Amino acid sequence: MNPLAAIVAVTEMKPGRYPEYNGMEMYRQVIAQFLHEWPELRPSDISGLLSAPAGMASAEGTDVFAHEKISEELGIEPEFSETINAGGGTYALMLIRAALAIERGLCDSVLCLGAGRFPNVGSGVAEMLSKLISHPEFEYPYGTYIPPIFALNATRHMHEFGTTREQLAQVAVSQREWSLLHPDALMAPQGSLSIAKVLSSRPISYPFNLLDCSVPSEGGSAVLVVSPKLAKKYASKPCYLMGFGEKHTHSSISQAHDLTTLGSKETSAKAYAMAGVGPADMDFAQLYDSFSINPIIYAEDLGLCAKGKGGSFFDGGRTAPGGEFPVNTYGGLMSFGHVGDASGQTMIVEAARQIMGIAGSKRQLNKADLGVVHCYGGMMSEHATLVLGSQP
Amino acid sequence: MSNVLPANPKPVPEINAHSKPYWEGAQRGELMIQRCRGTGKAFMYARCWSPFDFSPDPIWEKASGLGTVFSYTIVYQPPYAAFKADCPFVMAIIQLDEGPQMMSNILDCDPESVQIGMKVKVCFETREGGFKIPQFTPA
Repeated sequence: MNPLAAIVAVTEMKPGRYPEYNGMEMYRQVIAQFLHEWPELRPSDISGLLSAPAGMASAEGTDVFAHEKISEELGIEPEFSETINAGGGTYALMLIRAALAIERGLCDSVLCLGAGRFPNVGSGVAEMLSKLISHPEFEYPYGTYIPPIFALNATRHMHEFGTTREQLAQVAVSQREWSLLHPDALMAPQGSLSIAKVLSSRPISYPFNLLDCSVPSEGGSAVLVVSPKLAKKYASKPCYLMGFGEKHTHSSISQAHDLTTLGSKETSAKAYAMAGVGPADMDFAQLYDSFSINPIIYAEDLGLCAKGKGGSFFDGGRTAPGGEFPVNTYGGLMSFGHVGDASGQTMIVEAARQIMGIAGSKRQLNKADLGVVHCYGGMMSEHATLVLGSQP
Repeated sequence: MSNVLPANPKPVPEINAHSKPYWEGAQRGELMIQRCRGTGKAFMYARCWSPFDFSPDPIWEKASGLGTVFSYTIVYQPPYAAFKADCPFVMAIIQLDEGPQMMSNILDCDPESVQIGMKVKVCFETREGGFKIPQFTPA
């Protein structure tokens, strides 16, 4: 089918700690880096702008007017602009909304922006965060926080399909190998992992140990989406959006109808159908990975393997560099770094870099013509799948 | 630091108008669920309408208090200070015999002994100010 839109420029800050920057300053740093990397861009090239709330889940408070402040500083008067939030699903939804706006002629281009910080657990915002990510009246009193909530999905997957802790650990091990090839990956200096190292790291919430969890950090990224007609003006090898699917299944984890088949099954089926392709056509996958269980469930729901076989899909480094099917070629949020509420754009940036052929000599895939990206927000509540390709 | 603050008390919920019967039931030692007037199906959490057919004013009824562990985790790192003394503790999704699912801890048992499919029954934990919240123990 015809592409819906094209990604022609991306950037991502190095994940880390940026205590000197508030929420809006993080956006400025992202934009400064983006303009430095794509020096030919001018304000007239941007007719739409989407941002996420600035300073979310932080003591300074959430700014839902981020889009208008950023536009003013950029010196643009967009024809399509808003601040949107669906947690980690935000940026896939931005791409979908940008594509629809461009297709309807509301604008020619949309700059999608994310900047995030990750509050420290136990820093006084933990109670607030717990009420935000679980039902404030019916779940919060039970001590809910993010790792145990995802652990509920993992324990159920182990029960239904015999998935093992070694298989969970393998996800972390393979992704660490990819991160060693990324100059900005937070955990790369720590070197390779082993299954034994993951299994002997500090227990957080069964079945997760510390190394089954993503690394909380701060950062941000930018993605410029343009009309397919304009794509070649900006990039010799654009990354086209070929298909997408969106689904919102629940808010509170205890109210999810299923813990092992998620909204991702439906969103990927929609995305493949729109693109006129199937999972067997994919050259790589970027699967949002807050915890080691997530890529296992998404590999199944996205049809990369049969339901229940997600654990063995990762066995023996099949998804690691040099393996049969590359997954999370930047190291995943578990080894690249989880940049708080901006984390959902990291895997889009990497997929675009792979397809545009700008992922760098170390990790650039030989064949990256079609890739699938799955993002989710909330407690695996808000799902979006994107099929991206090099051919219009 | 010279002043060590005492651990925060474990949280009590902020009760809303529509959910009052649930928490009033808990204070009496009863687990309350709602039932749709149109379809007859039970659901949680408290709502002003039925999520099955939008029929208004769902019926409140006392649940049997019996259920099964649908999934669980053993929490080793506390979310914040109030839960530190409880670690390791169990967080679980309970499927009630009536159908609905709810979040709970599983009290009065070795966390390592909890399994998916285990039968559990409701009990009530007293929190700050004598406020009772529904919890579960092995049946």
